[in-house]
Amino acid sequence: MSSHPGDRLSAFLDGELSAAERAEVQGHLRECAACTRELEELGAVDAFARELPVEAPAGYFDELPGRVRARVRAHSGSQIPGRRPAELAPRHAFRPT
Amino acid sequence: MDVPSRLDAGRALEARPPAGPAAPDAAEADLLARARDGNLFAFDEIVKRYQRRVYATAVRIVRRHDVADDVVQEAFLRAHQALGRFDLARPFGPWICRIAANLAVNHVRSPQAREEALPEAHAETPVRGGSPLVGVLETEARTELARALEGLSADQRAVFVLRVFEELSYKEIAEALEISIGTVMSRLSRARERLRVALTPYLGAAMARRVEGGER
Repeated sequence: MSSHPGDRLSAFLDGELSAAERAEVQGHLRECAACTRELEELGAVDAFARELPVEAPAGYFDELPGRVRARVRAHSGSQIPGRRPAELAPRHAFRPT
Repeated sequence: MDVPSRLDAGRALEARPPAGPAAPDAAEADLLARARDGNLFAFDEIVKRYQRRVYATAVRIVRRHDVADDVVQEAFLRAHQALGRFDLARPFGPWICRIAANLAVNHVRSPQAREEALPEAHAETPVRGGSPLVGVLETEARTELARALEGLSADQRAVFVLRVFEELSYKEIAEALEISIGTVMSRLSRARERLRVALTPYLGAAMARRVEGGER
């Protein structure tokens, strides 16, 4: 039997191995019931973790946009992302009428 | 939060390709363009769209609401400041979550974080009802998982969160956390292994029950 995949089992689960490494792990799994079981359990851990909900204090998400806006305003002042100050003024702003 | 409909360990045998970026949303690109031009109301809409997802990323890593709140605000602030460099053809969600994860890990590594008391509450609150897992993996198993997640290092949690919840590729995780792909691989493997060991009694029972119940 080929050597156990070790860290590569987790990467195999994620589809992050090269074709050659993947084939090697697949070959090992055909022969090793313990690693096959471990792979199943690793997948189950991910699925289980995704089932755990995340909760924030009541009303938190109602207030957050306003708090972010206040911070953005305080930090950016007259600065607008992606534009230099010279670009903010209309091109004809100083043109005599 | 979108979750798999059931504990589906068997399908883990099929290697999953790394998740690709979600298709850019035209309405979102328009909001981002207006936000970039200084429209704070447009940025408000972006915050409303992503606040839960960004908060979940942060709190799963830092394990404290007050710290997660700081991280979320800072992440949105930095994203706003960097909008001028953001490619509107790319999805915003993975980008803001990467920013949040980086901030979260840096916070946990900071001297300030080491002086803070250990968290008393779990980031995830076990709930009953609605999930197919309930009845198979009981509250005890959920508590055990929450405890095991807290037992991981913040570095391990960050890699686990970005992979399992955000479905980023190893390359994307490496870039977000400024580590090598090899480090991503080893940290993720160790994190999963620790969680697997902690949950082994429950995973075994769940999978045995699935086999007895037959596959749909």
